[in-house]
Amino acid sequence: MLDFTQAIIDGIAIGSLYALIAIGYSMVFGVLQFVNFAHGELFMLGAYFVMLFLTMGAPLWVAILFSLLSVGTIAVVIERIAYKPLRKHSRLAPLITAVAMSLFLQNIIQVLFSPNSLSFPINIPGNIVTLGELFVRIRDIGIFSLTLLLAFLLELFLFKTKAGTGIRALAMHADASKLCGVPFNRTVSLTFFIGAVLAVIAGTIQGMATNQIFPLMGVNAGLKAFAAAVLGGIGEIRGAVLGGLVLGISESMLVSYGLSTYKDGFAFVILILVLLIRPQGILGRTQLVKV
Amino acid sequence: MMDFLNYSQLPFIMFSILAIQAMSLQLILGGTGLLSLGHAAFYTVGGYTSAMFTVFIAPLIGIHDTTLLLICACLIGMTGAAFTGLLVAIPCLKLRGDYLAMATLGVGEIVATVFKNLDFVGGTRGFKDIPKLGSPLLIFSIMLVVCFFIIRFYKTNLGYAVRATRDDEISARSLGINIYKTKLISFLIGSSLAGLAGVFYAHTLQFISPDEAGFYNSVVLVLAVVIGGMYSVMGSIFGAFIIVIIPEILRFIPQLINPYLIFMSEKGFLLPSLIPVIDSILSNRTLIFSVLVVIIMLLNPKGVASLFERINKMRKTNE
Repeated sequence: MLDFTQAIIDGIAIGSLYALIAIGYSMVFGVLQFVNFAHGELFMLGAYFVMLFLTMGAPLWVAILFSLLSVGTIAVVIERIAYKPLRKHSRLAPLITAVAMSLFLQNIIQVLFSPNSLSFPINIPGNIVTLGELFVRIRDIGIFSLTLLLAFLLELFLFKTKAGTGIRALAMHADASKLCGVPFNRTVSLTFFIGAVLAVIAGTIQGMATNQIFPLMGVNAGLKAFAAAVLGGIGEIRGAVLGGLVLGISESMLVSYGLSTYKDGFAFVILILVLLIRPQGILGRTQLVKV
Repeated sequence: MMDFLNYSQLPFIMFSILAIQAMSLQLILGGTGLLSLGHAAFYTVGGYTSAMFTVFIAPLIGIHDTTLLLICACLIGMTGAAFTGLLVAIPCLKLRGDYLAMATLGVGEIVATVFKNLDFVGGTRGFKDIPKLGSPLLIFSIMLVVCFFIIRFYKTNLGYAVRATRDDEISARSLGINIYKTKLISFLIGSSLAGLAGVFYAHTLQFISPDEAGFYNSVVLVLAVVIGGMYSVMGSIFGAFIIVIIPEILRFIPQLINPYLIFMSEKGFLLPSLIPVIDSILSNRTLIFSVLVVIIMLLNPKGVASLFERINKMRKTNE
């Protein structure tokens, strides 16, 4: 039982990172019914940009702010160039360009920086406190609460502001929302921007926690976060957060039972199992298909 | 001339193998309309099972004749892949559209993880020292046979049922077509043919790695199918050709462009310090390839086959 609780605590931090990335997948899917497979790369780009600005001498918050803006812009530009012209064609065309963009971003970073891992200039120390017989990293609590805070702010934005309502309207019914005057392209861009912002924050946290970044760090994180988004019910913010945490915790349980080499495939085993029982994901809503 | 033949042998084999895979995916994707993003998994399973057979079992039961060995390897590889296909299909074919894509994406990653953890086939380092079987011409003729087989398959009753299911499930069901069974059969044929490609891959390169099952390889297959035109079998062969030939051409790009870069920097249009950066960008073939893929998709999202159709239509309206 102690191991079990300890595994939950250990999995919360990585689960929070999955959750932050998963929100981006989920929002884009909600609006466009399209999986942005280049999203994992925004996580990687975020970490690299923060590092770049830090080495240029900017203080941490300025570096993060600039990184948010630049990666957000990159995400919007990618959408405009590679996905928008293909929206009316088959579902597979934008999927292929998304994967091509992700290869492009990985390789351009390899060329401009280095194919090897670089050390991140700032790190958060992993101080441990003991609660009874459990070991808790203070850092993990911080990451978890930051994730919850960001998810809460996002929900607030989606439900209380005009632009947020536009995103929800678009997700509900694209044509009807256009009729009501929701600016389609601007709203889609905003969705991509928000997703990128959360991915950059996750990337920065990852860089600061593990103290190293590498060009392919977005591949695994991206695929697992995608699994998390589907697991929780793609299209739902709360689902993405829940899916991320479930995935992170179950991975850490697998590790605590000594099966760490199976970690990478396990996310997808859970994904398939959940899809078989609840095809729409844990918190997803069923969509009726009409003839 | 001999140099060229030697040099082009490997791309030629890779083209034939990729074409078999692409056609097997075309049957699932274009023919049956099932979004499968884990097709590389079947190909990897095919390669691994046949390699396990030829390395561990064949010497035990005393098969030394290469022809017999190759036939057995093919059969076993195809069976292995089809069996995996069955394991995937039974639960997953109930899922609709996008969710099937998401589940099959997971299958690739799961297969990769499983092979990474099997130490007797090399684990993460991959399966080495697989006996060499098959010749380039043999693989090419197998590819032609697969092509004729699939084209012929579309003309059978089952083939029509498959395409009716793709176009409209409900009306197909109202015609008495068992949708689940139709999808299952097409999925199994597709996965076993992918396994066949995997057998040849493993026994020509004499090596197979668990990463072959990953997501990117599956997407390359989807790309091959889509570039050529989703609904055309010949299109998949064309797509495979494009995917193999472009990186080979890209080898020569840095040498071709370098003189111009130097010329431009001499004229003062370009900072000399930028030349190595541009050079390293140009010599990263994956980078250029990914840009080309985006451009190809933007220019021709429906594939080359649709281009031919359009030309045909124009000709007809002109007459």
